[in-house]
Amino acid sequence: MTHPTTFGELLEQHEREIFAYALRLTGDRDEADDVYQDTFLAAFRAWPPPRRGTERAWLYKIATNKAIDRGRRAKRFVRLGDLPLAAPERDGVSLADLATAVKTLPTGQRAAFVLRKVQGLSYAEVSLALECSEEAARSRVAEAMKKVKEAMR
Amino acid sequence: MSELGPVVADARERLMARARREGLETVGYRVVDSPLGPLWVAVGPRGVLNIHYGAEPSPLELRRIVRTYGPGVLPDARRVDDVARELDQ
Repeated sequence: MTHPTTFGELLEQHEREIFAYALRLTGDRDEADDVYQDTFLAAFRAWPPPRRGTERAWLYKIATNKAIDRGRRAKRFVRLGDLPLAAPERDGVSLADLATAVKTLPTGQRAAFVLRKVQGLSYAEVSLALECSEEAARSRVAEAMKKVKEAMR
Repeated sequence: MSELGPVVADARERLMARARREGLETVGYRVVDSPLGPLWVAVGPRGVLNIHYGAEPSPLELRRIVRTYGPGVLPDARRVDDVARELDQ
């Protein structure tokens, strides 16, 4: 993947995964749309990315913060009807796992879980996106996995 | 995730409208089908900036556009519609 030099390249390279991530975090299509809009507008306003080669993690960081901000402003129920859109394509996490994760995990763990287990980011990227150490990212994912497994029993 | 495509396309249209309103978009582009094959067409504040054979601009041309108009180069079908119609005639 080339380093984007324009907003359009950034958008075309990452918009689908950012929308899917927002959907997985919020569980609601309208909320995901808002997070997507807020994320890219914030990225355009803050252009250029802080470091070349970290555009993807930078976008995930913005999206995570936007989702958390929105979640704080409006405590809401998860509309599970939108979850099939967010069903992962390439790993062993089922829709039921996702639904459980979305319903039960605290925001920080939910973000870490989705970034690592669904979006497939490396721990280095997860730590960049969540502004924490790699160790903390691993710990959040492990804790989230534990809770998801417990919820599935 | 087959249903995601149209959902993201709708979201992108709203994003482009907001980017235009906020002055974040300096140049709009889209790929136009023509008898010669796909053409990458970019429209700036004063009209057509660039028409390039193929679905993507040359890196050299894109760098020139960014140097002149900044990074606000965005996919914007609406902005290129008039040119696309003219090319079609």
